[in-house]
Amino acid sequence: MWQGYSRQLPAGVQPEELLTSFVVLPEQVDKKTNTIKPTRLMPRRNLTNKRLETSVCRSSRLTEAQVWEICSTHFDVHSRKPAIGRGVGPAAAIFAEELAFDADGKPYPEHANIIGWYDDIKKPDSELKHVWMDRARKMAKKFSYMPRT
Amino acid sequence: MNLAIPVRDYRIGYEDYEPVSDVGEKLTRKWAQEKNYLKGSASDWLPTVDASFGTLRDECQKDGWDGPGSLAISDQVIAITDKVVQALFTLVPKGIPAPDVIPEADGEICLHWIVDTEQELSISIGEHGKINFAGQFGKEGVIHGWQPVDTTSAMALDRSLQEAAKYVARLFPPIASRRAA
Repeated sequence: MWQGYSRQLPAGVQPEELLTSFVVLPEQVDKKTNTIKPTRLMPRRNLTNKRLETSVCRSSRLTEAQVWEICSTHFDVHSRKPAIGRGVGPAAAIFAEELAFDADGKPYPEHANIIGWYDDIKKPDSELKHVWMDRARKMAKKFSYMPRT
Repeated sequence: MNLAIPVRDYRIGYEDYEPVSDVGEKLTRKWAQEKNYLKGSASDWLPTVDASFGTLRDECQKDGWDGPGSLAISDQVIAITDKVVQALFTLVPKGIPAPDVIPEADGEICLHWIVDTEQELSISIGEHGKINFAGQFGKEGVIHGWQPVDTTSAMALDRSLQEAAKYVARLFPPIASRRAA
């Protein structure tokens, strides 16, 4: 049985670290490039603090089995269907877009949020989304798709 | 002696005919669709996209379909996206492949065309009367922005999607095989 909660991680996400974004539907995968679609990295507004966040798993130090254990425990239970795979890409791709991380370690130690998305409280999200789409588009091409094992 | 007869082409096309009645509007639109519609070919968007809408109805009609905080894709968003797809189909040159239809966690739908990692375009559609778009055209650079869309009539929608259609067409410049498709 995986004893994940004893693992040590750097406090801050390092550029060379690999990140995982879980994929629920085949539509979220680009078959031409075998990468995840940009929509998978788009931010959601945190209902508590209104911050824009994209949830990811810091997966460099995890085995494949550990990644899917986390997925089963913390992702699948909240989704309509279990994840079918994951996108894996370097944290450097996020830093390249001048975004940052909040390595909150909640609800599991490897959890982090991509933060620093462009925001303007005077404008509705429907007039900001294109900026997020542009960033997500550039990052997504660095996230290769790996089916669930 | 050669006999030269001047021939003037007075064909009325979609581009130069402005309908004034509802029937005329429908006829013009049908005309434009037929111009692009080649059943079973790469030009044939509508069956592909309809199948994708079916998947969205099955998989994404309840909140939480993509984890905590993800919003359902409503019938209303699907209906608007359907109109946008049909309008774009009439506006772009024939032979352009159908977009991938991707559900988004904020309850919107993204249409995505990709040639390769350096040439792609996304158009996101929601219930708010706007589209957001982002794309890259190789070394020509990137674009992103939003614009209002008018879904009150097919002609109004066509007018408001002219710019978006140009972006789609820019991804797929004319080649002999596409023209013949």
